[in-house]
Amino acid sequence: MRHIKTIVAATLLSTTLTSCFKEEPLNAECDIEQAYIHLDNPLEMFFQKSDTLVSLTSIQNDVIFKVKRGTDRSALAPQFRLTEGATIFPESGSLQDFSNGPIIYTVTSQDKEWSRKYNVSFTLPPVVLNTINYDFSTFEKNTNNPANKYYVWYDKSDEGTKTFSWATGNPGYYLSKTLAKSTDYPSVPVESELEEGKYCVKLTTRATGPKAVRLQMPIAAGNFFYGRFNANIALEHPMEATEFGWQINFKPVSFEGNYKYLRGEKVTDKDQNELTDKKDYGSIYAVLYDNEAGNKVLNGNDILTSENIVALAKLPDIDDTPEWTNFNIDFQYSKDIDENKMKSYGYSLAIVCSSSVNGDKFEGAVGSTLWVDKFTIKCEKIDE
Amino acid sequence: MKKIFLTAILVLFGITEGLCANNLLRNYSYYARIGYHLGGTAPNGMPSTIRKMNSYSLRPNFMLGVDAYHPFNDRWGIMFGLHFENKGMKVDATVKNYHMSMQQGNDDPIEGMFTGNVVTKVDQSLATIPVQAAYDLSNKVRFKFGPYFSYVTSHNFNGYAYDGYLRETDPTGTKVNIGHEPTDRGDYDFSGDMRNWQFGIDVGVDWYFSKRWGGFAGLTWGLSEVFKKDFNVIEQSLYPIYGNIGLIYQFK
Repeated sequence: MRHIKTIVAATLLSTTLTSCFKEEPLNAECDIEQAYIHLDNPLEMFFQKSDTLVSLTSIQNDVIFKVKRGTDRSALAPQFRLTEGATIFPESGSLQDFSNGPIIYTVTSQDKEWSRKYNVSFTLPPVVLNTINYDFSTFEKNTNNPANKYYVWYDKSDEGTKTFSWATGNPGYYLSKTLAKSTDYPSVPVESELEEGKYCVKLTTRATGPKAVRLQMPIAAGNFFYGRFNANIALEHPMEATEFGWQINFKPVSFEGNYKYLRGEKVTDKDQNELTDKKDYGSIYAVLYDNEAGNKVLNGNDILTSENIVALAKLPDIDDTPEWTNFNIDFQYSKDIDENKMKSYGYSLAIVCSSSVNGDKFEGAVGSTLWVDKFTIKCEKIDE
Repeated sequence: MKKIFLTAILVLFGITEGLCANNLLRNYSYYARIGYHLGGTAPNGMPSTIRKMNSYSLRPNFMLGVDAYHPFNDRWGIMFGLHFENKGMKVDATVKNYHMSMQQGNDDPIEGMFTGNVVTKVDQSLATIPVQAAYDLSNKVRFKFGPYFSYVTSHNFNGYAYDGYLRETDPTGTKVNIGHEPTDRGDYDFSGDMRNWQFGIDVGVDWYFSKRWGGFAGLTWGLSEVFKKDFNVIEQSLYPIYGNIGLIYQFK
């Protein structure tokens, strides 16, 4: 009997399933995974050796090499690591003139069915004055596919190109609520009440869905930060998806800005238990840290605890604040600054705002709302 | 499709003819049948996006039924009955750029092209009426061929994707990594999108090794797909294709 069963099983499987496996289909993906440039002496052009390599997440359409002032950008040959089998035009390693701004490269998948366009640029460092102002009034709907789902913020570089230096958890929220309206996301722009015609950023702690609740992620705090959001791992490792900070070459002295805050009613923990003795608070802080020559990025796990932290400018937990309130706090340095390291972009600055102070632990009150507007970083310039 | 209906009509015509012959209650024999199904819910022809089968596990696919047989002449007759059966499978397959929808710590499912491993569990309980033309090769061996109609009393089609990534919407969309552990893999459940009625072709052979006892083997090939028409997460139409084997007991 057992034999017959085995024979029947084998016959069935081989006829209906196994024997029918076809040849492997060609790859349909067309991403630039990494861009790099090979130079005999990279430090002539770059501040750090690690700057010769740019890694991209799947939602980025821009490849930005940050080069030193005075670099001749008229004949550079960036190379690209693409998804398997994909091709790129202009060709990887071909000489291009980047002195007039970004060049558009098109990547085509191995099966020729799909393509993506990337803006590749070599940008000069921003001219650092004594203050750096952010008014959060330049934003658009996301352009990565699927487009127009949520808002993204950008700054204009001195040369006029967009740099997406401020990030939010919106791309992660999109994955958890694909049907949400762009205005219902945790991070949205709203009209500024401080200056007519301008905008501020509104962050709201939102409830997630049943599966997320089971995974002990029942809320999504609105966040807004100077850094990058890695959507690839947003659901798998949410804490690590917030890559805080960008490399800078100036010494921040103080952090100024404006906010108002309205807390939600019921604070719940990751298991959705109501914490009746707890109140929700908003959170705003700036962190300067040693990026280990461009190799270290702090994330949700260690942004306030890492040994790499050099200075911190942190507001006390933000209580209910119905009126717009100005703050101005100094960076508290716990370590000395190495000027040479600073000049070569060896430190990174992170600025983080969240509508629930413990939102990273999925603890907070649905409805808690933090508005932020007009940030200024005062800095001491390190002479180049 | 048409052919099946034609066959069904012919068989029904045969029954009617049998009734007209006024031997309705005479010359019938009855059987009890217990068996086991083995097979899969699979596309007719594997798409190239399914690369490899990593494992296949047996499910409790028991069947229990009664049949009636009525001969028309020495060789030919008709057999029909009512079977209660389970048709299920559990398969772990490796796929590439395979259209899927899943939930991973999120609310609305994410849908797009998945590359990685997919575990699929299918369980269906059915009440089936087979109507078969029967041909006796000898007094011990009977071949049967004909359509079957099933009402699906309960259906489950669920599982999870693991160790891979999903490109949201299409291959250029956000790359969402899908992990290995229950907390970070992508679950799916399409049970609610399954049809309540199925039909197909049932071919088989009964072989009697004693006066009352026999064994049987057969193949039920579904011609109706298991999902409703408007379900298009899985791009291929899936059909229940199960072989069966078991014991027969003749009452009379």
